[in-house]
Amino acid sequence: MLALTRKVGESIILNDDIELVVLSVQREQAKIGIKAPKSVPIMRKEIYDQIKEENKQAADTALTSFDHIIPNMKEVK
Amino acid sequence: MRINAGELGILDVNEDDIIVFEKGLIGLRELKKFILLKGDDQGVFKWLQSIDDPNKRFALMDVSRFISDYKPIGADSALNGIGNYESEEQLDIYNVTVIPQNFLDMTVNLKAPIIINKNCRKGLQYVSDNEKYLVKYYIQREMQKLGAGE
Repeated sequence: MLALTRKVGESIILNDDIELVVLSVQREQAKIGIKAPKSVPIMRKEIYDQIKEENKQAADTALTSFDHIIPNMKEVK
Repeated sequence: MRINAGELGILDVNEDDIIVFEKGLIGLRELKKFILLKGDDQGVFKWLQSIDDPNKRFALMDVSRFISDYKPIGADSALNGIGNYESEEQLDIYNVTVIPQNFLDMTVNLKAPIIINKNCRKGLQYVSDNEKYLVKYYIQREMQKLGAGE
């Protein structure tokens, strides 16, 4: 992994169109600003990992009969 | 064309019905081609069956039938890799479900819906900026709570 040391207010450029700015640092917390095209998905890694895990679980769902699930669900009109 | 849909059997599908996810699904980037199949008779669930891997299929549901104000797509977000679309009406939004043995523990992923452009059959898994949408939303438990409050 590449490690760069930056001060508050300094940036890192990724791939021409993405800029990461260190906005503030307090004890163990760094606040990072991100400037990127709207089409670039940006999320906290915990969320990414959670979605990944959820997709894997969903894909492993055995072929179930939906019949026992649906009677409990009511449609909202 | 004929596809192997694992437990769902060998199916004859129309090539035009294949949905291409250029970037695959999150964490499952190798799955790029899918077909949407009927789930239950009431149309609550649909199967998103992988063509690349016969053993991978997702039970999807459209939660807007149950959560009427569900709006995952941010106003200023750009959906990349989904082809051209003029309005959100052209897009179908589905949620990935996890259905464990105890159906009360069923969850739907409100955070990362599957979006399909109906016109060009392209899809992507979008991640909503909205902090209130959970990856694991216990829809059955929430429905029960709502039902009990009536």
